[in-house]
Amino acid sequence: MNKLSADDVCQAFIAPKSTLAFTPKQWQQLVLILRHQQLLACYSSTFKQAGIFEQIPKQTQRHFLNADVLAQNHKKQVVFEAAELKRELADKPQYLIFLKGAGYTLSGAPVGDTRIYNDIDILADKKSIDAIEKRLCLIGWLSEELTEHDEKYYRKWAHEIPPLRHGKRGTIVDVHHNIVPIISGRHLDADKFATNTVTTEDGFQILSFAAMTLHSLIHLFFNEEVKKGYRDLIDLHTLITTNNNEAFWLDLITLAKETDFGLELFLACRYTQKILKTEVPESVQKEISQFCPWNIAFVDFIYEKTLKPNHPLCKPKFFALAEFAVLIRGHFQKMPLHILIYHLLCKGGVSVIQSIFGKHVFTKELDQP
Amino acid sequence: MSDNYFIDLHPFSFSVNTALPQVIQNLSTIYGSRFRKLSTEVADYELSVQKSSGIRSFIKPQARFFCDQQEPFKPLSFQKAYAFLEWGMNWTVAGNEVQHVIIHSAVLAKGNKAILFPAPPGSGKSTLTAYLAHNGWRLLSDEMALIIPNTQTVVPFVRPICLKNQSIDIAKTLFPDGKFSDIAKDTHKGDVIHLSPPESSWENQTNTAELVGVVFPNYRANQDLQIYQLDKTQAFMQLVDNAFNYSVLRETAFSTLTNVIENVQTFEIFHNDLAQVAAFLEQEIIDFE
Amino acid sequence: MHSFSDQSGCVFLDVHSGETLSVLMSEADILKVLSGEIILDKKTTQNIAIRSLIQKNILLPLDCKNTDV
Repeated sequence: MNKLSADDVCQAFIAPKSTLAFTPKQWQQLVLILRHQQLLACYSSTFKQAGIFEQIPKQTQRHFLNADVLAQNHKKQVVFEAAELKRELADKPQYLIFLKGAGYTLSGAPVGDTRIYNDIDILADKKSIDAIEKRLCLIGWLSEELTEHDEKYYRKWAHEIPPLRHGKRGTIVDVHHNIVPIISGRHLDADKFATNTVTTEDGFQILSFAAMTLHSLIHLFFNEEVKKGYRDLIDLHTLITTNNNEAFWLDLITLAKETDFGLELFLACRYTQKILKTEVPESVQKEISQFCPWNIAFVDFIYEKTLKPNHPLCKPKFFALAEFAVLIRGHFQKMPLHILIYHLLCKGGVSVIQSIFGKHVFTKELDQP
Repeated sequence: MSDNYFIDLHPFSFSVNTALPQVIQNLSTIYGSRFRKLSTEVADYELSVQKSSGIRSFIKPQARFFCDQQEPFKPLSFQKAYAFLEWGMNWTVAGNEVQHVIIHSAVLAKGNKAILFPAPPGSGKSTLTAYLAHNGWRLLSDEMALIIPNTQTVVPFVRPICLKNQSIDIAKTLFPDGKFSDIAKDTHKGDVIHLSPPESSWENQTNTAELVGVVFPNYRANQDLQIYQLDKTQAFMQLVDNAFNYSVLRETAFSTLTNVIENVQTFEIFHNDLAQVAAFLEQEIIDFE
Repeated sequence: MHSFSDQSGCVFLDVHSGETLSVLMSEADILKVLSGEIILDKKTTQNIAIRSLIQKNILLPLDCKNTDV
């Protein structure tokens, strides 16, 4: 029996009918890989849209149906929490924007349909952060215990305050005042970025689809970890595919140039195309080719491996090496060298090794609602 | 070297990867023919129990539990490895399965009439479960009652009965032929042993039953049998408190449990005599109508 | 909302939060409280339960009908 490869998993998404040749064991592997990537509900919806759900073995169908229910519930819970936050913080900040997963969900667009995530991210103006933290503390959102170093790092260098957890419901909120760390020296004008928003029917402020896409690709390519790389790539694919029109691309390219994230936009288009066969208009490809980095062969080496489904069952050769390269690349982008060395020393070699080789790294996922 | 095993536990199945002889031996004692070396079977969940690695393992070895790549719990001391796996199986089902409303409760049936026994630890629920299972009742589950949404139908999920502390000696005296696991000492529940239900429960592993009663048992050493009829609102709220996936299933769970409570008898009982309880259940709930 | 046939009380599911709440009063009595026909002692659990349901917008007091709005 053939083991499923990472490419088979991608192919199942691009051309769902390819799965009809799967053996029951291969289906089982697909379920394991997708559960690990929090993509069961996403694929479930893909298979339903392709009209092949009924042809999936019954035992496997149950896993997808379970994931559907969990994703639906997740959505309801997020809408409830977001409404709480909006109400409680109504008079505090100038703006309160729901980012990433929560933003996807609240947008009502396909990108948020089956998305499962561990925390709710919000962006607010820096001046209001203290008031927000105090208010949230009053209504049960408390900061978790951090080591002194972590606390200091967050406060001084990061683009967010330490995560707050609701004492009763266990939900976690990340309050950001910028979308990239201050430390990187590349931080963009958050107040300006925050003007690229829309208000949903239910009155939630979220990023426009162009800004949402930009944030999503910055998060993926301006980062030191890609544990959920494949899932993030599917987000980008969905955002691009469902907004594939001139106005969207114009906004996105303009915004990328303004904020100096052209390289990341280039990479996003390159790897969604390579891995998920995403359609990117030729004119766009031409326009962003100016951002192609000199070391593209190296960048290809690391991202073509790490952005594919990542599970021990289907890990490509040199995966650990590529993942390590992402870690180093991400850290270098974010921190000046002397701070990076200090940070890594304080974190201790152990935790860096753990973040590379995965020992205990999944414990955090328990926080999933 | 670690091997892959398969446990067929209707309606779910598990593969277990382990190299620990104590785990293999206990699984074999408890699950009998339902436990075997994995060949072509496709399991719902891939679990593993391993000895922790590193220097620490020479001084004080620990067991680690994994559900695929996830490690939901901190390692436990080595001698609890099998009990750890049992709890890991519960965690796996509770966290992933939402096709049934799952109640933290024992379920036992006579014929196809079933009674739910939801109760907190220390209420003597498992001793009662073990007694009934060895006295003409069949066990559908000791810890997890699977109710098909919007019905009163319970799907068996036959598993060993988990006995704690002083119940261990009582059970060993009452059921000298019982198939017991090793004792896991000093767990968060105290000392714990698992007891395999009698063969008749296993044979009916796939036969559903219809709920006719919900009984909250309480063992009180100095109290003769006392029975209180519970009002439906209180019984419902207590069921909700014991439901694993209630918050996920929401409307479905709400309507399922209100329907169950409307259609069954609900009692709270205090007792110090298992035989009296069994007689009451049979006369007043099973033979009722 | 479900009102139990033994008149022991009513249970409510808050569809937004997923929380379940109960009031140990029959549906008819709850309606009387809402319309002001029965006044409950402030300290009773029933009163607290009903007020929490009103706060969560699950129950509405019926005296709204007197207003001109």
